[in-house]
Amino acid sequence: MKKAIGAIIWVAALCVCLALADGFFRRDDGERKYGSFFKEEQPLDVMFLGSSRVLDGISPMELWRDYGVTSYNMGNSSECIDASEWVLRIASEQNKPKIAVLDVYYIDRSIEDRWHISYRHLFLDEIPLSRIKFEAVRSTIPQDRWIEFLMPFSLYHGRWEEMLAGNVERMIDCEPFMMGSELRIGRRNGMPYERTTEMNTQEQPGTQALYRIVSFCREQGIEPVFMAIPAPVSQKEQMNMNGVQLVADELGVPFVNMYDDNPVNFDTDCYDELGHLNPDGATKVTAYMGEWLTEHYELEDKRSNAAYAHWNDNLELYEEFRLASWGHMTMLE
Amino acid sequence: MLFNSFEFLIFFPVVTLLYFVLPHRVRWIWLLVTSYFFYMNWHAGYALLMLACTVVTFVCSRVISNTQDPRRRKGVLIAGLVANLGMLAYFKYTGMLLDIINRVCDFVGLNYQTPKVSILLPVGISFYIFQALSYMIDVYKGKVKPERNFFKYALFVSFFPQLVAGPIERSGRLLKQIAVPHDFDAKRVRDGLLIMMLGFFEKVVIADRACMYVDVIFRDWAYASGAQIALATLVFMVQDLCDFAGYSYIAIGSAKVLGIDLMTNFRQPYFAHSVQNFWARWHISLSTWFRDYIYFPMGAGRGSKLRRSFNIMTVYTISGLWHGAALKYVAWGMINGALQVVEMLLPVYKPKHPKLHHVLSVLWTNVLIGVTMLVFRAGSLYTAIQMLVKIPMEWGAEWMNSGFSPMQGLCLGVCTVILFAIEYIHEKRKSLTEMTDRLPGVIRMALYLAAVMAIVIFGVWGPGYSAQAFIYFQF
Repeated sequence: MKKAIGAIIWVAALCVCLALADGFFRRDDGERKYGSFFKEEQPLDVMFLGSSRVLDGISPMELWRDYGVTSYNMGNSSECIDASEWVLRIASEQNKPKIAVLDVYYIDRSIEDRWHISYRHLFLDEIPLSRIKFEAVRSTIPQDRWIEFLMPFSLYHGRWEEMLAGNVERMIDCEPFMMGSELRIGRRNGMPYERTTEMNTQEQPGTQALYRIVSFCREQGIEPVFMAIPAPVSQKEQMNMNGVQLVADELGVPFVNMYDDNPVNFDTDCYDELGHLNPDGATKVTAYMGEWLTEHYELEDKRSNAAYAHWNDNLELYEEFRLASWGHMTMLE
Repeated sequence: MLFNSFEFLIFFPVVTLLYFVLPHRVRWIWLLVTSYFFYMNWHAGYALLMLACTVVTFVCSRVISNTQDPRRRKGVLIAGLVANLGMLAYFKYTGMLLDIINRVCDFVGLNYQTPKVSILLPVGISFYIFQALSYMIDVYKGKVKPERNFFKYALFVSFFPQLVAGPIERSGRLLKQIAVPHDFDAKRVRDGLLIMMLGFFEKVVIADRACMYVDVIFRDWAYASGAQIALATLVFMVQDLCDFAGYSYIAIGSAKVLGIDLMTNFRQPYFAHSVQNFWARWHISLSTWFRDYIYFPMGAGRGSKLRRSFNIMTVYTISGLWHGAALKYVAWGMINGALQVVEMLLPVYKPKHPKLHHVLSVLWTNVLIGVTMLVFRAGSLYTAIQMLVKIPMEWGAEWMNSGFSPMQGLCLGVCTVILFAIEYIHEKRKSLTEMTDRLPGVIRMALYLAAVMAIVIFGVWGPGYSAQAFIYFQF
């Protein structure tokens, strides 16, 4: 009996040690990117979903500063629409937004395309092991890599080397007070760009995910919105995004195609030649979306609501951070 | 299913738990079912080969034991040997044979190429066939009584802990243990788990990390310096030991948990004072198999020195072939044989300083074993010769970037020191378990916990973390 109790205590101690090690070896990128979302106790007005276009293009703090709208930027690099669907499904269990704005940049990419799988860890590592996480992993991750998502310690225990050597590099430039967005510091001319309003009327690899997302939103009482953030992309890519209008019309979903009324200057507002937006570009796109959202939906201005005082605290931190990291670029001008 | 896989992490506790929950009379059936499951998890179809080997050796052994006619007994034995070795030869050596035919045709200018064949080598085939053959030969020699229950015999051939990489057990030991009921014994289970832990330490922490360095240097040896090749050979010596001995420890430990004692397979081989002594310590279950079933029947050490040399060379040439289907393995086996022949022919020398002589002998033996290990690991025999020449000729050349970080090197170095400390304790005939048993319970438990955590953290397992995959891709 004594031996049995000793064995049970030992196994329990092992489980505790493994749990501690799991926490110790995790990367903190996911926490910085999504931690504030999971800690937020107040309901969100808007959830932005999609690719790096959203990640760099929408600043929830500026939306709060200018319109008093609460939002979270769930955008993530190389995130196709099928993956965004699962982000929305899982995130809605935690904090169901009034409006879900979905970036359609990757309408022409399927989940089977080669993605930088490390970015999938950002979100999924933050989700505790659950039925919905397992479904998300099963739907969006190749089977040979399920283990590292269901049991992230199997991957991260190998970080001892970089941790001991002290050369841990960040994967994403998010801070908790930025509510999921990041600031890309830099200015480069975008690639040559020519606008087209033509549409690709064929079904795209991401089209079915759009249908599923809209259906899910309507089941949950969430207002779906499609969005395209301008970037100096090829006419073919533009045509693919323009084609989303057909789905939007069919489903009766608004589509904010900012290519039609481009607020971005590709010569000054891009961080890289691919057209990822720098803070100036993000400010313009955020202002555009803020204007559009407040015009089309009844969104209460909560800036003076005491329950949202922490949003004002975060705004202060954000303003300081933006000035410190981007102010010198503005002053140079 | 590999021991260092997630599947085994689930498989083994489930098998063990149910094994001790089930009534005694069905436990061996449970082990048989799970052993076949273990094997079929890799390739279901190839379980039929194991079954065929089991049926043939079982039937032959029964016929041999029921027959008094020596000629008929011998005939059945030979038929059993041919069937099993034929199966082994087909799966393991067809490719090598065709390659030799093609080379010979090329050499003599014959415009002929054999058809290309691609045969998947069944995992563990060399092990379970040798184990089954040992039973059949032992029955023929009257050393063991034939097993009457086919399914118990099938468990002897397929017992999962030692199925894939040995130890190659003898029927005299294993079959007896299968027949006996085993009660749950907490101390034995703990001892088994500790042996498994040592195995995982050697396999996952040392061998799998060492191979990261060894693979690069042996692949790009042309760019490596002589010193680097020598270091890689040393690291390979450690890797090879830990890879094989580690796997054996896991097998022995997991069998012990189930109440079955398997034979010791490695006994501090790098403390050997001669090549012959090395082979008495390395892969003991195979060495003794060759000794009992080839060397002894050939006359062993009897007869003239020439005869004894021939016997040794034959055994080690076959041993080389057993290790791999390529000429370099044959050469490796022959070198090992030749070194032992030289040792046998050298006059016996009585040293003035026995301790110093012993230390020097151990060092010299390791140099010789290192050379054979280089031949074993190199891409081909020709490559091995080039690498050996390069060691002294380009000793001081610039070191190539192996991609092996200093931190990994430090980890490997520290773990190797720990390994040799453990080996030294074992060499001094001391038991690590008994030593830790003298510690207070809490400290002992904390020590076990720390060891498991160290294996989990520093071990090479899982999908493999690459910091490069987590840098800012910037899109």
